[in-house]
Amino acid sequence: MQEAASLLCFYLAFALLHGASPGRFPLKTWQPSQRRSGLMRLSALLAAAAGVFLYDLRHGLSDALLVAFPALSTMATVFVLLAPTCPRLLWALALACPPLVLILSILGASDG
Amino acid sequence: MKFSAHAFGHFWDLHAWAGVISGLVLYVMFLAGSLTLFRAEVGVWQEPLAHQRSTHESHQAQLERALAAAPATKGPIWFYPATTGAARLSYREAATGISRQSWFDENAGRLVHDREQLAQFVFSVHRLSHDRTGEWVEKLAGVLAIVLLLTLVTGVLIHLKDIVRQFHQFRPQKSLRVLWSDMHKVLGVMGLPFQVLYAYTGAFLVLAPIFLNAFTGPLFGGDQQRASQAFWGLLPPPPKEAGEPAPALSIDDLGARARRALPNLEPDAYRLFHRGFENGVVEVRGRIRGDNPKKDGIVLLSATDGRVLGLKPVKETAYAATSRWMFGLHEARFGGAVLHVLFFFLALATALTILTGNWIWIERRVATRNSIGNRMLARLTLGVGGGGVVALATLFLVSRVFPLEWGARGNAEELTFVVVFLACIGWAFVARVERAVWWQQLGLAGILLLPVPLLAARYSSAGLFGSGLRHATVVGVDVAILVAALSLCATAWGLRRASLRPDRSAAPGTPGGDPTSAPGSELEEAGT
Repeated sequence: MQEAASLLCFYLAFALLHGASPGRFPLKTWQPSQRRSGLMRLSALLAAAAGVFLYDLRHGLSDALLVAFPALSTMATVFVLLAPTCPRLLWALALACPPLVLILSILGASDG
Repeated sequence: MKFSAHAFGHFWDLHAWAGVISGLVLYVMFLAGSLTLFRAEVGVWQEPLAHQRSTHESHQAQLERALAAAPATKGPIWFYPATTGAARLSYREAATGISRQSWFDENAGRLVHDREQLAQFVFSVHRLSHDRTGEWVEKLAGVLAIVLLLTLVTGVLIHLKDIVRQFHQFRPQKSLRVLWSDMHKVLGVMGLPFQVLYAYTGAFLVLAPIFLNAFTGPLFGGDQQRASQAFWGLLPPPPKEAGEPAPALSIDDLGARARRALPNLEPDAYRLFHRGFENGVVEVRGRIRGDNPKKDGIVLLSATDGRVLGLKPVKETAYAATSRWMFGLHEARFGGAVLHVLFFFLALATALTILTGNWIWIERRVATRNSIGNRMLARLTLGVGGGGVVALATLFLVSRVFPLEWGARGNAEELTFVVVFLACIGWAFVARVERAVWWQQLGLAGILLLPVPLLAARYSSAGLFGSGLRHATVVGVDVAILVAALSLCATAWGLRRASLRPDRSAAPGTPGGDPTSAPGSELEEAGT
């Protein structure tokens, strides 16, 4: 559970980083200001740190740091390659990530 | 950072030539490597005796029952106690001198020699290592890893000026040529840390022993034993003479002593020398819990009085520690099952990066001169790309079709792999419509894989379609095969639909492509 929550964190991190640029933001009617783009980048950093933290709970910090790179690489590849064909699905999943991460983390913690 | 046109041209040529020369072999290595990440799981799946329920007997009781079924042996005996499946023995037959690796079938009370080599063969393909091809081909794998490193470095230098933009850019709505170019850059940039890791560790694992051996003469006077001691910190060798017959302690007792000598050791194998004699010694081997990447430990004990004669690692040598890290990173011995899945996808992504690189090369060359060499490379890329997948799928299929007790099944499986692989390359060369070959071969691979979990139920009831007690690993592999088969069929269907769209230019080198398309302008657009 915590591993899945961690992967979702990495997914969210890349989605935020990808969307932080005005040209790639999913809504065409509203574009983020420079300040909001900065906030999105900061949130991406926090999401990645949360991913490391959640993986650390199960496998230790060295494993969590080693896993962070392939996890981010995989999520980023999936996101960039699928974004042009099914953008709604990808952004919907990104929006669903925070509650999903919370639920999976609680379930993982209750499993021990 | 911007290079002069002269430097840029050299980097581009180096990147392209190194990539195209080594690409197709590296593609096969990465494709087989993606499956090799699950070697342990496939190893359990392929052998029904590994699905037997554990007897919960002591290690000594298991050993005695297995040895009672074994013929007379000579030399050391390896014993692997049952954890989830049957116990295993590895020994040399006294009468024939043949080395055997056998499972102990609890139900029949007999030894069954290793009969299925699927996981090992896929591993051999990944390493380019086989008894019949000799050591030099394996060494070539190390050289190819260096070439891959060179390709990666030059690739980064070429794209350094706009690497962040290419990180996010994928335009499938444009022509196929732009699509290949974007895909090559996205997969290449995103997968860069993974590719560098594998190229570096792969080169180290293959080539480092060769370089170290070069020091044996000048530094150790040619003494291989002393050199190995310095590099690896080896244990003292067991006594040459067996001595008089003498009673031995049980391996459970020796295992407990080993755990006291090396805390956190989890014994999973025993190596017995001179069993039943006064000079008998036992190596207790296992993983050391808590270390990352996983560290292996060995304790050498006297079999008669339980004295500790040596242990490893007391203090890990620099080379042993470096090798442990290199192996640990290369074989993903950390991070749990999630990391194996991530590495699996990244390995497939790397394989695709290599193929798209070849297609970009072909497009650039075809745009200026449509030579026979370029046309052959296009066909070869197609044949090896699709053929590798079909051959691996066929290997899984025949492993569940050939009779389990058939003595020649190992050779027959290997032969099937090679014949199917070559046949697919031949198919790509004779196909009239090149672009159709991709979806046809991927579809074929999916169809070949689809019945495998069902056929696996013939040999074991522990799988997805079995009627007996389920085995988590066996069910997991069955599910993975099913998902892979359906994904391949879906990809083939998608590619077929895409190939029928009239607004697309053809696949690289395809004569049936839109004759009015201007490749030069598309390449400019693609930024290659």
